[in-house]
Amino acid sequence: MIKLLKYLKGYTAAAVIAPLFKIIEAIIELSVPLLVSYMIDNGLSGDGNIATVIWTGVILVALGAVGLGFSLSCQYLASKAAVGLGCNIRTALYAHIQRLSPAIIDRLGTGTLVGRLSTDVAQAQQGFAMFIRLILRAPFIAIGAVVMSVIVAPEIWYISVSATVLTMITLIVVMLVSVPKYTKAEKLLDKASQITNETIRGERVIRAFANEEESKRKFSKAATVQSKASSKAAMMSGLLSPLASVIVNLAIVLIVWLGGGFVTSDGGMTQGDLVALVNYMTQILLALIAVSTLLILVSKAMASGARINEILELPEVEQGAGAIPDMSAPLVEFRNAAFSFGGEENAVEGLNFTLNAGEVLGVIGTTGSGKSTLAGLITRFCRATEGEVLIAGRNVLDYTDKQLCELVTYAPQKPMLFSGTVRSNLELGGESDLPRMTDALKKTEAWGFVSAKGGVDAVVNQKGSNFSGGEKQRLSLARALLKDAPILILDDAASALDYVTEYRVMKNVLGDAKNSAVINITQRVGSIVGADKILVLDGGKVVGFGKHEELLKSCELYGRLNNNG
Amino acid sequence: MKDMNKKSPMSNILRYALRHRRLLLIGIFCIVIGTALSMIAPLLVGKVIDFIGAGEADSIPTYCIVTLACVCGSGVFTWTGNVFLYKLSFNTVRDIRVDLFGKLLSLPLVKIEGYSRGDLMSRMTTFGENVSDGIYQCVLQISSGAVTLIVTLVCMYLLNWVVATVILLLTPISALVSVKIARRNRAAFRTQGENMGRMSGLGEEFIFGSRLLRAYGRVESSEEEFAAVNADLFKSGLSSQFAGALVNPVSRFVNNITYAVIAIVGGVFVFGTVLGWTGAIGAPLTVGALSAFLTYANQFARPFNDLTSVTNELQTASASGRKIFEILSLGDEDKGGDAPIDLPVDYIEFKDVSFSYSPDKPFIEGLSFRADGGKKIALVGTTGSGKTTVINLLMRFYDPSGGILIYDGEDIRDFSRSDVRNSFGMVLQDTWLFGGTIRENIAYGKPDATEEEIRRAAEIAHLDNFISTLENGYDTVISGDGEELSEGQKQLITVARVFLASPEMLILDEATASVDAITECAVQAAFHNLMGNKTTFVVAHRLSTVRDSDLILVMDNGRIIEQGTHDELVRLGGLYSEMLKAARGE
Repeated sequence: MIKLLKYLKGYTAAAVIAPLFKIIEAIIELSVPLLVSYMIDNGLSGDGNIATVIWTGVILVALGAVGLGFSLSCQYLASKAAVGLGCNIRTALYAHIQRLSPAIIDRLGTGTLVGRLSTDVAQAQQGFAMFIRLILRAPFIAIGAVVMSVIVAPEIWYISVSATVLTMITLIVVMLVSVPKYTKAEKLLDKASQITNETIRGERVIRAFANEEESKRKFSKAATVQSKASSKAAMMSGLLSPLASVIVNLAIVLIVWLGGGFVTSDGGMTQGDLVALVNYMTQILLALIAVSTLLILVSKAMASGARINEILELPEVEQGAGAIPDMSAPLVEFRNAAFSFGGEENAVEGLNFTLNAGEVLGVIGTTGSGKSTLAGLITRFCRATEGEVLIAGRNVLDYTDKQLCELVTYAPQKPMLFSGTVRSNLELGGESDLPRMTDALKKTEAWGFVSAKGGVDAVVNQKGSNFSGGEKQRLSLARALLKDAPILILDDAASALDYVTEYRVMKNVLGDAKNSAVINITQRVGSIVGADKILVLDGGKVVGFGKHEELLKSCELYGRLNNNG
Repeated sequence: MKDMNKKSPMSNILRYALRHRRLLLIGIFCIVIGTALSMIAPLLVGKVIDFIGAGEADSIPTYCIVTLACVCGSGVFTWTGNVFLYKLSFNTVRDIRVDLFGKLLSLPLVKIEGYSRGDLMSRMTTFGENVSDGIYQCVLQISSGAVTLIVTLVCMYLLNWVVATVILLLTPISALVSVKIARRNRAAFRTQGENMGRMSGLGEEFIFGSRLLRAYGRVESSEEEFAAVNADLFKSGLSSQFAGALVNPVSRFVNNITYAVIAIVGGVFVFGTVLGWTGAIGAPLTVGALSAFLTYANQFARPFNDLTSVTNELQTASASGRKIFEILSLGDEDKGGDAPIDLPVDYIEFKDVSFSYSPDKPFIEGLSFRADGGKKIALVGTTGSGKTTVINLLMRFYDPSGGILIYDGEDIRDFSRSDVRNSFGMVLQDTWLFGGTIRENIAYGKPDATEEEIRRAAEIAHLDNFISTLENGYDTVISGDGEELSEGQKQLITVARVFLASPEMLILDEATASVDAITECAVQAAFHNLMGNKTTFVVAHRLSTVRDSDLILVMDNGRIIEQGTHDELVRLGGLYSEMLKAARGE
């Protein structure tokens, strides 16, 4: 959490002034019992003085109003600082995420990262607000009240001091004992939720084996264990407030009992002093109890802060220093390139090929054979761990993001549409000329359904949820065509289309990109029969390289894939 | 169960809570006693202060000891009451969760699939927690609040009826103020919620589409878009954060005013008592009593100040409860008839079967085919053509919306769903393993299987070699998603599982789709062992695997457009042969 404080930029003043105002308000609050004591001793004792009673009353109201002013200013500044902190963290976090390696994003999952951006930032923000608004105030009130009570009644200073110390110790002990218990209960809740997750995933299998009762027993057991653990934790933490209140009330009783002996008519302690002492003790109690409830909130905020930091500390991928592409060199060249996710085995290895403008490289293999990794080595989503990848004669790592982006365009297997319109999605590559858009849509056979939905201004829902898989792939292909870069990567980009439509669409796409270097990744031999070169991958290894006819003879797997259809 | 939806979520929650009546009653009882005892203490302390003022030292020890007893008693009762109420809330939510979990397994699959997994999970966890917090907070605050009001009121009137009336008149102001603020805040919180939703939505899209943004050089412009939403979030966040922060200082201010007014009025009465005129209206006041009043004024206002937080807590619990009971009120899947299944099953027939997810959009129509015993039936077609839906109908995961399914000569509904399901063994593309040992995962369909049977099943599934390389062999614990295994190994475990259960018929739904080519050979060989001469339904995306089927059903858009053997379909020259050609790139 502390590391995150650097994101306070622009709100430091507010974050500093807010607690100061709060402390001024606390001082005002601490003076109230003194005033009441003054009123009792000077206004009510002996002959009494009604004027004193009334003007102390008026001062009390005035102090209340001033206190309100300070505390409202504090609340505003604290809110501003906390919300500002939250927004700054969010901006930084989002920018950071977009610079992480895509493999890391995949590993963490979009859901987790969105959770960091929303829930965790909100919790950190809330915790920070509570911290400057309330937590700083509470110890101040507690210590101030102790000091005041010592000043008011030096004869019995030890009572309020020891009561406060004792309450603090209780607070710490109870927290220390109950926090691990809460952690345990939380873990058990995770377990119950894992069982739920597992069950929803396995609905069909569980029902197929008619094992519903067994699952229910398992969950019921987990839920019961969890509820017992929660009860235990709550039993512990529930001790805090009653114990603290017993200690403080004990102190109050002791104060009036022992302190009563010091009250004499000739100076020393007065009746008003006693009332003030009782008030101070109550303030100490309330302040400490407030701390204990807030500590839970703050510990949650710390946990969120740590989770945010975890992400922020992940390394960003670096872009290259910049290089001028040599368009006379082969557009794509793999020199013994390999990539590993960090495990023992390489995800792909031994990649060697060159591809010139106007050529098509077909890449075929089953799921998990490393096809998409090959594509990633060109788009720099993955970085070769051995060998090197050259784009237009330069190492792919040398280019800046912008330069690389101008050289490569791609259409992924799982096409991504953003909310907006068909037009806004097609414009992603920078082309906004309507006739060109229409042309691209026609080539990918997307014009039919797009015009049925009202043309290029048809609305696209979040993640393109109002388009079918096949429709999304065709829009994604059109978008790739519109970007018009020298290298076109089609990563299983038409897999959701039926064989016949795929055939027609791919023919148009390849025709449109006839001057580009095309890498066509697929699981179906039929899609790459006409390719200039075909690379056959299995389990990350190259098992065949050549033309269709050669591979039919030389590569056993290729032959099998060919028969599979 | 049906009426659950009509009832308010609160009354549903209450119904579950009342199962633990004992905890509820004891909890409330202890809280009432504990609170009352703590309320009496200021009265007694006030008395002691008066004794000191009057110099009556003799009575002090007695009063002090009684006060101590009250304070300690209050502590013990409050804690006990808290513990009981916590138990009540945890047990109630456990019951709700167990029932909710049961629902996940007894609802028709169509209904479950209408919810995302994340949605169901948050109903189970987060919403459950909210309900639990709600039960605890509400019972606690309402019972302690009511006692606080009554006891302080009685004590105050015992002390001095005029000052008591002043407090009684002033307190509603504080309540009114906090309610007013809360109402004003609601709008701010709503805008904030909407903006948070926008931000999450945008973040999700942009992070999910991160590769695309990078490939199209759009990272920076996405940051700008994100920053715009973030700026809105700052504005609405500031106003909602500040709105939330208003309640405390304002109600404290109102309390301070009350405090001052009481000090003045009380002071006047103490003054009057000295002069002797208060006796005339029956309202004398001592310094000790004034001290008690000052404490009571704060305590009396507390339940009113807590009103907003309790309402919020209640609203959250009620909204969460509604989400949970929405699922609990859905109708269960019927169990089916109870006719005994006479194995082996001679044939299965679909007669003009239709199915739809929503009434206005038929998905499958006019589906008719007959699968004879011992034959291999294949379903081919593009993604979304309805192949898997046929399997779901066959397994009675889905119910047809029209037509009839004949199972061994009778309507399939005459048999119990679990018997029908048990007669099939299923291997799906998405393998399902659960957290546990490999042995438990293999024996999932036959928990009482002997060691030998398990080994035999593993052997047939070509798993024995792999398992013997593991340090703990069959006792190796795998995580729920089987991350440490390859797709092929996971698939082989499910094959062994099905083999061990030795079902009457088999369903292979794209079972090798995510397996690499070399493993596929092993899996296919295992399938071969598995099938023997069982009736088998194969859903395939590769045409080669279905070539030798006895019946191939070619599906498109929810209809069977061609059926026959491979040779017949090739001769027909329809979609199947076109697909074969396209597959070869011709």
